[in-house]
Amino acid sequence: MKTPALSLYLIDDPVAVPSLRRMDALLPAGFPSPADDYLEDRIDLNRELVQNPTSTFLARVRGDSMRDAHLQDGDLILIDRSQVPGSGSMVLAWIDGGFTVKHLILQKDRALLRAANPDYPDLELNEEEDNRIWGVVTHVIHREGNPTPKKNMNIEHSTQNIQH
Amino acid sequence: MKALVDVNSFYASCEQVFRPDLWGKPVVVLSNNDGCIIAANREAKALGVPMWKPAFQVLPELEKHGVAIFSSNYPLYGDMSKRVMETLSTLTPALEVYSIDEAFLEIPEVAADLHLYGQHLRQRVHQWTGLPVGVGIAPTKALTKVASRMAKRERERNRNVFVIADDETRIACLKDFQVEDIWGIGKRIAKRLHDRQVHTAWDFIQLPDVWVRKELTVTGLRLKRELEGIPQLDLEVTPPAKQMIGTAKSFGKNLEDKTLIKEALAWYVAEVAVKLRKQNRIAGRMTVFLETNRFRPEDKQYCNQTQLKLPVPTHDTPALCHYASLGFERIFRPGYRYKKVGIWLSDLVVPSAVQQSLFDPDPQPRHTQLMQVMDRINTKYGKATLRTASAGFRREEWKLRQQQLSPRYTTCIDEIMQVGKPARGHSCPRGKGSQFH
Repeated sequence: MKTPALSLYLIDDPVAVPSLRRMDALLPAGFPSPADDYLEDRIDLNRELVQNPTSTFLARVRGDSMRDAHLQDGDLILIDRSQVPGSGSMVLAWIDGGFTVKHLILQKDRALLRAANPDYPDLELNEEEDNRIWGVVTHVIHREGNPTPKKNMNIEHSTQNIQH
Repeated sequence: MKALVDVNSFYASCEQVFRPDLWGKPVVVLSNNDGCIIAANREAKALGVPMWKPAFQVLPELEKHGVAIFSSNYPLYGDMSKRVMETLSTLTPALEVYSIDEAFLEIPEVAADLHLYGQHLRQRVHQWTGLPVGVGIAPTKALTKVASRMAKRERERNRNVFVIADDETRIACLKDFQVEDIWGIGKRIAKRLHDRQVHTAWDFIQLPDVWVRKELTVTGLRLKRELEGIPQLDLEVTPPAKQMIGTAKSFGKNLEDKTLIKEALAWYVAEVAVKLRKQNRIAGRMTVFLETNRFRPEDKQYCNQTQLKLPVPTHDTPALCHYASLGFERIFRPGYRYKKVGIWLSDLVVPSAVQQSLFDPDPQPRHTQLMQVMDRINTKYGKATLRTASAGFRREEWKLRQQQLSPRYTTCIDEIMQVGKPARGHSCPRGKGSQFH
């Protein structure tokens, strides 16, 4: 467990607050914005990327073993368990004691897990091994520039907008 | 018709969802502070794992048998529970969350084949969350409890869904059902019933109504009707607002140092205050309590509590810390080795319901704003990044012992599942040491 660096802040004189409120009330009302009737919510990535939040889980790619599937170290993948995988779906699978990402290939009478790298042989799934597929990968989020995101602990930055 | 859905060995199953290497293997979960075993899955129970025994007595034996051992990971269980309830609510018009791993639900009238409906519930919860559930279906809540038990018995035959739809099945089940297993019949009442030669649920509903009413009040009579198949209890779809919230956790070790215990208390107060603000409540009353370790008879024992009525109800962390500290000073006695400190807040009301005091003109706005800032920062940068100085810097010295903690896979971005590495690598990134000694 890492302990973030600790910062202490002195809260400014709180007496300023009521006076600020009083000034608010004195502000003359200007013309209403012509955009008021057209206000829409900002695009919400959660809504765009996560169709079913109840069944969506996140995982982090570690290492280079899935580079051929365009997955790089540090990438974030979204997995939706409620989706039924079809042929060609990218799936999160449990193989050899670890999670990995493969493509599901459905053929007439069998199901295969195929790695992006042709050096790896296909893995045939028999009936009982259905549960090797943990979920369907719906999105891959790649952070440009900095492959392993670090938590940004710069608190000052976030307090800039806060009134005292 | 109603259904009772419950997750099989919920805590253990939550751990297994993210560890396919443990599927079909014995798993146990330890209580807070790793004190004793509070949950074991079927495989572990089959090995004869004793529940509620002090962990240090049984752990070496468990490890020898390859039982996977976990500290309780409540952030994970809480989120998985929410996912189960959300999944169920997609298949029913009315859902009552009964506990962390159980829900009653109303079966939509269009569901003609009850068995199929039960299977459908099971299948969807398993697909969406990875958790296995059992389903009991019957006309009344008390009977769904019976059916749910029957479903568990059928688990060996891989059924997991049991329907009591006709009198024949109902009577057969009740005759095969011990009276102490009836929902709401406690040990004491069960003993009285056995004394009267009432051994099964069937015997119970043969008792005259007058007797049941006299001895077990109207609640008992309602239960009898329910077992007769006549619905008496509706689903409680909106949970009643909490009247009390609080926290009390054991320290990792027994503490004598007063300032250290006070720091822990300030820390707990901050946690409870966050809960309070999330529920949009302010508290008018506070109870502070303190106790030594009951399980160490060789130590001098002391426990005490005190209640404070707050001058103005509040949800403000510094104010609550201040009052908690006053209460603590009242009950603290030096010279004892303390195991636990905690607070409860009661008289919870919605902020607008409070009358302002003439002499304490509106203390809320500045603190409301300050608390919003604090909560925002802590949501963004992690619990207790910003805290009152009274919570101190020495948490390592008193915090819970949780040496076998699994990652918070679903609530903390730094602990999510990892792809492309063997499971070993992420089996225990949270605690430093993962071995018991």
